[in-house]
Amino acid sequence: MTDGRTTRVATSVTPGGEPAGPPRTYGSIVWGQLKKRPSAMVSLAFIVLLALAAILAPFIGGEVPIRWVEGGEASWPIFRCLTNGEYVAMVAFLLGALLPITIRLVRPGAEQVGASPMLRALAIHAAVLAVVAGLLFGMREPERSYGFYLERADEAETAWFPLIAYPRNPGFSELPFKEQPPSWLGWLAPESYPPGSWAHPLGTGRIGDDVLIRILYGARTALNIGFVAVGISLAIGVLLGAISGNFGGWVDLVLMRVAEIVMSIPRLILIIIMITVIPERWIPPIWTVVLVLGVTGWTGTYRLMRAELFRIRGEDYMTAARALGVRTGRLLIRHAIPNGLAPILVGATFGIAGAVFLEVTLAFLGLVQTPSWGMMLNDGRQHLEYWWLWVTSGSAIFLTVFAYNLLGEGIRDAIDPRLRI
Amino acid sequence: MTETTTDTLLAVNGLTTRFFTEEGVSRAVEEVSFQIPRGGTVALVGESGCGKTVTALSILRLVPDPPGRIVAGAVHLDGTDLLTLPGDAMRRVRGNRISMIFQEPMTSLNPVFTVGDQVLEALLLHTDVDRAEGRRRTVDMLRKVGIPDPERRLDEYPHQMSGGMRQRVMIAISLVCGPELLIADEPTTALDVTIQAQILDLLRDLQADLGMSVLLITHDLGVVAEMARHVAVMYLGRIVEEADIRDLFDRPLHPYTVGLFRSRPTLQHRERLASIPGLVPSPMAVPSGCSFHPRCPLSDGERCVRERPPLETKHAAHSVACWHADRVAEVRDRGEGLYET
Repeated sequence: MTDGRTTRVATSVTPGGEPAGPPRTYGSIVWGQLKKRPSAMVSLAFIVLLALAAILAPFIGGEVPIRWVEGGEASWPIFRCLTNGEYVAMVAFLLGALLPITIRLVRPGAEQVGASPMLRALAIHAAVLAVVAGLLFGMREPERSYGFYLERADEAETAWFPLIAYPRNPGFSELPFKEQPPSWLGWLAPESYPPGSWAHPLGTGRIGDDVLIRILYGARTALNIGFVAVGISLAIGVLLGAISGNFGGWVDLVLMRVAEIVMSIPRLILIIIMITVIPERWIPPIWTVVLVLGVTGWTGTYRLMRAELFRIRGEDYMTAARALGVRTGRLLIRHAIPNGLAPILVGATFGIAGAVFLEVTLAFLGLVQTPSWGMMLNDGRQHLEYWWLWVTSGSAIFLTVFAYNLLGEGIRDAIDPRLRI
Repeated sequence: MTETTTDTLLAVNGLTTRFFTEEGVSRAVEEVSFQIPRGGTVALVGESGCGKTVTALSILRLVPDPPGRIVAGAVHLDGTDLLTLPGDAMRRVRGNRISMIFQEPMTSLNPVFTVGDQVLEALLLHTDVDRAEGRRRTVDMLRKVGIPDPERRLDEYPHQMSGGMRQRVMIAISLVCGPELLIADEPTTALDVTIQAQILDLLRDLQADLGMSVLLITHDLGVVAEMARHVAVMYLGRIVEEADIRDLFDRPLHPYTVGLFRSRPTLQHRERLASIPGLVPSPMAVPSGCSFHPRCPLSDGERCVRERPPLETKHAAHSVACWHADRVAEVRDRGEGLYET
C-alpha cells in the first residue's frame, strides 16, 4: 500500500509539483481504474441489472395487473399488492442510482464547511430511506387478495398485465402446463404453444410454474443472502480486526483464538443444525442461514483488517493524530479503518459469491423452503430430460457467482498500484 | 527572537524511559533533565538512536506501551506534572498546549483526508468552534504557514502536495490551537536544503508571532545554530553536555561534542573530516562508567570505565558530564585536534 501512495503521487501530480485537476480521492482513482477493465464493468452491469430485475419481479411476471379498468373505473392493483419490503427495495435502488446527482448538489454547500460531499449525500439518502421505510411499515398494509384478475381478464375493459401474465404460485389450473419447454421454441411442443410464443420464455416447471418468474424470485433470495450475510460479517470482521491489530497483546491473542475456533466450525453442518433446532416461527430458516453465514463468515475480513492495522498503527500519521489528542475510538474509526478498507472490499465481493453458493447448496439439499435457484436445480436433477429446469437455474448460479468473482478481481487489480493501466 | 520572560514553561526532571523487549531492556532515555523557558527555544542534539525522539514522545506520553514505559522522572508543564495527569486531561494537553511536528511530512499526514480536514480536526478537538468558523480559521492558518491559495488547496489530499507544502500543513495542524510548546522532531531533515531554510524561517517567524516555546530535536548543527538559544547534547539516552549556543560552539567541553563538531564540513577548514571512531553501542548494552568511554580519545581506561561522570556545571549555564572536561579545554587551547583526521 505504501507503493500505492507513491504511485499516486506520481500519477496525479505534474512534474512541476502543481496538482493536476480537481482533488482526486482514493475512491475516484480506484473507480477510474475499474472503468478501464471491461470484465469488471460487464460484471458490475450484470449484477446491477440482476438486482433491478429481482426488485421489479412483480412487474415482469405475475398475476396482478398494473392497470385495471372495469366498469369505467380505473385502478392500479399492483401498487396495492406490492409488499412494504418491495417498496423499500425499490426506493433504495432509486436512491442508489441518484447518489451521484445528490453528491453534485450538496458539493458546494459541503465544501463551504469542509465536509465530505459523498458522506453528506449518503447521510441524506439514508435518512430518506429510513423515513420511507418507517412510513411504509408504520402506515401501510399491503393487499393480500390477488382478486383473480387473470380469470376475470375478459371482464375488464383494459388490463395491463406484467410481461408474463401468469400466477407466481400456480394452482390446479396451471397443472396442465407443467414441464413445458421454453415457449419461443414452440416447435418443440406444438400442442402447447404456437411457434414463437413468449408466454413462458424459459419454460415451466414441475407444477406448471413459470421458470423465469422463479429465477427472478430466486435472484432475490441469492442477492439478499449475499448482501446481508456479507454485511454482517464485514461489520464484525472490520471492528474486531481493527481492535485486535491496534491493541495487540492479550486482546489480539484472545480474538485470534476466537477467530481460529470459528474458522474450524463446519458452516454447512452448523447451518443444518441451527435450521433444525430453531423453530420456524421464531426465525424463518432463510434468516437462520443469513445469520449463521454472517456470524461465522467474519474471520477472513478479521484477519485482513488485523494485518492492515499492524501496518497502519506504526504509520507516522497515527502518531501524529495521537499527538493531536485524538482519542482511541476516534483514532481507530476515523484514522485507521479507512486506510485499511481497500483489501476488505475485494474480500467482500468474493464473500458475496461464496454466500450465494452456500445458499444454493442448502436449497439444493432441500433445507430451505424459499424460492431459490438451488431448489430449481434440484427439481431439474430429478428430470434431466426437462433440460430447461437445470440449464436456467444452473446458468443463473454460474453467471452470478462468476460476475461477483470477476468484479472482485477487477477491484483487486484496480487497487493494486503495480497493475495500473 | 528575544526572550521576553525568563520563567520556565516546561521542566523535565530525571526522565527515564525504557523499552522492555524480549531481547532485553533498552535504556532509551536515562535521567534526562532540562528546562524550556517560556518563548524560548531549546535544542536536543545527537546522533540517530540517542533518545531524542523518545524524549519528545515521553513528554507527550506517546511512547508505545508495550514495550516502552516511562519508569521515572517528572515533566512539569507550568507546574503540572504531565506524567501523573489522567488520560483525559493529557489528551487535552496534546495538540492544544503541546503539539508536535514530525520528521517525515510524506507519511505524517493521513492519506485519506484532505489537508483542510486534518487542520480542522485539531481545531474541533480542542475548541468549541463550529465547522464554518473552523473552516475560516483553517484558511487563515494555512495562509499563515505560507500555503498559496489556501481556499483551494484546503480540499487537496496530501499526495497532491510537495514535501515542503506538506510540512507547512503539519505546522499548520500543530499550531492552529495556539500551543505554548511546539516539539519539532527533525522538522527539516526530509526536505531539500532550500526548503529547509524556508521552513526554519517560517518556524522562527511563527514563534515570534505566537510567543510559543520550541523544543527542537535535530542532528543538524546548522539548524541548531539558526534556531536555538540553548542546546543539550545527548549520547546514548543521557545528556552529556548542555550550554548556551555560543558557548557550546566556541568551547565544547565533552569529547563527544567536539567530535560532533569536527565531523561536519566547514568552508574554513577544507581538510578531511574527522569521524568519531567506533559505532554507537546498542542501548541494550550501555557501556559501564561513562558510556562514551569505548570511543573516547581521552578515556583513561580506569575511572571512565568504572564511574559515570555526573552532569556538572562548569561555568555559567554550561554543564558537562565528563571526568576530563578540563583536558578537552586544554587541548583546544593548544590548538590541537582531539580526533585524528
